Amino acid sequence: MEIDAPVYPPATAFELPVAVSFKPRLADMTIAELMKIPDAWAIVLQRFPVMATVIQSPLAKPNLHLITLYLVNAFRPFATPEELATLDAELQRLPSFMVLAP
Amino acid sequence: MDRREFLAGTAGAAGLALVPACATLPDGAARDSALARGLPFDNGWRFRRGEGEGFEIPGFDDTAWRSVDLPHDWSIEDLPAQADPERIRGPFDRDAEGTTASGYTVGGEGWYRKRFQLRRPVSGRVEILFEGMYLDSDVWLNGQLLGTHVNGYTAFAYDLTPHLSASGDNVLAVRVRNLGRNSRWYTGSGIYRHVWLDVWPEQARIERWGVGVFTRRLGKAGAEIEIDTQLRDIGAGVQVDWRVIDTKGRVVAKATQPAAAQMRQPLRIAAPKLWSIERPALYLLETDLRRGGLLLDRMQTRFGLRIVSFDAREGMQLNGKPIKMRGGCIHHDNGLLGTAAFDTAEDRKVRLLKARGFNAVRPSHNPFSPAFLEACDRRGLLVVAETFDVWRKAKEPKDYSVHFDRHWRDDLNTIVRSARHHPSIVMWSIGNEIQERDKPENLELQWLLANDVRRLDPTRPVTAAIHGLPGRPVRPSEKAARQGYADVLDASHTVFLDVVGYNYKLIDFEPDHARYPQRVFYGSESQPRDVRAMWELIERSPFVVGDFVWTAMDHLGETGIGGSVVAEPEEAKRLGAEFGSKWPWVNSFCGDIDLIGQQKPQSRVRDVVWGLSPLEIAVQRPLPEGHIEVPRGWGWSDEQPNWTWPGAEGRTLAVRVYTVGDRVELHLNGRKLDSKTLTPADFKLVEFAVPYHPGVLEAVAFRGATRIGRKRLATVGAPMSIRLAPEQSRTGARRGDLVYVLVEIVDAESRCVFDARTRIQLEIGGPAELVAFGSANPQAVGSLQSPEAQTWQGRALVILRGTGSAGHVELRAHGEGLVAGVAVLHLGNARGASR
Repeated sequence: MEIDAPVYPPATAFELPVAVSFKPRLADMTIAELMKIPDAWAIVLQRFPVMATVIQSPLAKPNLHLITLYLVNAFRPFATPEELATLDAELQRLPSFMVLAP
Repeated sequence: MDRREFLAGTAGAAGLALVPACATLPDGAARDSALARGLPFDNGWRFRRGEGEGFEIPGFDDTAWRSVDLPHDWSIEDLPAQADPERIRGPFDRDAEGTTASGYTVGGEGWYRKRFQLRRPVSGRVEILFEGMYLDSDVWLNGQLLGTHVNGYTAFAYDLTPHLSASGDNVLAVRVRNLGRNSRWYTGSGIYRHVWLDVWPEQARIERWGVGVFTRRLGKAGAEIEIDTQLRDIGAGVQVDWRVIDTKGRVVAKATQPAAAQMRQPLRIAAPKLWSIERPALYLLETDLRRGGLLLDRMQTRFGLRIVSFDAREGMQLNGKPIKMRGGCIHHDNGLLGTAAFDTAEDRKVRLLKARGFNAVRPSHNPFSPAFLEACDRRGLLVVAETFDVWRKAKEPKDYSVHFDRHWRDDLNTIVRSARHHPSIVMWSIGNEIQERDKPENLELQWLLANDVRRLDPTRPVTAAIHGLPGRPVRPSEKAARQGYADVLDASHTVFLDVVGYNYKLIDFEPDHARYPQRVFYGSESQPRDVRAMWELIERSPFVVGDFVWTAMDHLGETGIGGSVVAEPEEAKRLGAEFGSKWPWVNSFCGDIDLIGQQKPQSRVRDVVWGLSPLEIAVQRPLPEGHIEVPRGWGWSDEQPNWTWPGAEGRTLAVRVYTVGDRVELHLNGRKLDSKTLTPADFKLVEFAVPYHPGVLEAVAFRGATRIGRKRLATVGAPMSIRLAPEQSRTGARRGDLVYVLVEIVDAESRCVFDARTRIQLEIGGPAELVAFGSANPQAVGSLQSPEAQTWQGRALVILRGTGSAGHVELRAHGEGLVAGVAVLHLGNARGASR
């Protein structure tokens, strides 16, 4: 068998990658982004009041701009997959839950 | 003379000569120093803990300072006695600034001084290399400041030549400061890795870390390698010789070229022995720099022949064979030793990991010692080498983010160049859980870091550990993209990475694979409780090439993120949801392996998941009435391979059996209690409710009609004696050679008495001294350097070091009411015995 080692050469120059539009699911929205959509966040807190405490925790607070409800749930379960799917469907119907433009 | 004998230590103010003066070399020309690379410089230092000034002055009288031999970590040493034993216990201070992160240990300032004899050469060069000091260091030679270093994990060197004294009497002074909250884990303090001297006859030399060896091709004709060589100040008439030597001392390939500042030399090795996890064959490359018959420099580089590849469809391959990384994350401390990076301790870490079936390690979140990487090469353990835990945004107020912009490029250069020859390293990680990575300026930083790594080492992929969202979908341009991935849809936080590490994102691998099918992933961190689910995913997904549990070994600091909380329901749930435990917890307690090297409950489950064992039994510790147990985020239930539960007679206990079988029978005292079947949905676990009666509990596992495993737990008797079991059968006698001896409380049938908490007193006779003595207890119970300690879960660990001469050492361990344990060790020879 002949095996050639892969190579990972440097690139030429940095350019900012081009963002691509997409319609987010709940799993694509960070908690910080959800909190910026008032009617979406109100629904989240109505269904899962524990989130008001979770966002104050020392682990979560500095990472709200990176973590999703699904990731929080994986660490500290507060909802079933079906409950999160129902929430996702409800948020998708909100006009304010918009497509993220580039 | 062995180079190690060059420095046999100093005696007071008089140092031994480092190199013969005015040596006459083969070409007949007199040089005032001969070539000597890698002279050990660990022994014969003086140390003082605490702030001070003027200690760099050569004439300062340091005779009152303590003698120390490196490596050294002062944060693991007992704090000055205080009146309040509730606050200070050994090295642990309830009010320590680092609190849970540092494991309640204390940094501060420390000074080291060393006297040595070496005349300033006329034409030669002398450098000192520090492998690592934590944290900020200033180094003086004969009162002259040589430099300052701020990265606690990278090596650095200084040119001593112009500052060496004409008389030959020299004083080196080092100030190390570990101040403020600068780490999320225990770091230790001081000169915690080795120090070396390099002496050259002239200025011409191979650049520090100037040799890299890469395997380009494996095939019928042999192994083709490429040697990357950088030289300095070479002048005219100089040539380079390369020789590849196998383990039998045979030269299997060689070449010679006129010297140039940058050189690339291909070589072919016929009938190569490849490096792999199972057979980690190593070769030695000797690179000589010569002018005529004069040897100007020689660098020895151990390397292995291997090719690693990553592909979303084919997965990871090592030398053309599929492999999954069975990985664990570890921090750099050595348990009871603190961070002192003795070669024996670094090797022991790798040995313990291999014994538990790990084939990969993620040294977190910083470069580890050369000794550790050499052990990984020698024993066959893959390494994901990590560079930074932070970029520009602090995770702790005084962490490396303070220095990042000024130093990242130089530090990255050092990290990659100094370690690129290690066959064990398969990836370079440019960051762990970087919080600000979503900002546009940090997308550029992701590119810059990845690109710098590729420029330094284009043979290995770049990775990073991503927590949370991996960013928005983007398409990279032709100029910026990784080779072959221009305009390919990717996530913005990973677009410039070759392989993506996910921290705690079990649920995201498959959806993200659907979105980015070209992506290769691995679990860069996972929680112990996810071991079964994680490996089910990995086994069915070629695009997930492995996982690294947080953590493989308990570490000091990050206190109490493992284990469990036992309390009344409301309090248990509240405490269980918190991140970690406060004082008196001092250790993370999240590892598969405990602080003294023993298996913990999750490790036995992993044995089953990884096929090391077909069957394991664990019994849930009985809980107090009205209490529940809540495992912490990185914890595990307090379930033990133990059937000795005094006071629990008649109570129903949960017995958990982990197995790859499809049926388990449970027997107690010869009588079959129950039989249960398992389906894939059971994830290899079946639980029985068993009324406790002393005796023998036995589980038998079947696959179909075939018995595949049997495990027994027996009720043990009362503690009767102390058993001492040295871990090594061979031990050197040098100051850096350590001996590990396990202490166990055993019953009349020599079975370990689990839960025995016995105070043990040690006596040591012969040429050895105590380095550390303690247990795996995650709470602060006192000194780790006293000859007295208490066992925990029936065990403790003694660590000795030789005083520098060979001979018999007798270790005795006494405990009230117990027959003493005795071990006879011979340092400097193969023989030892214990009883």
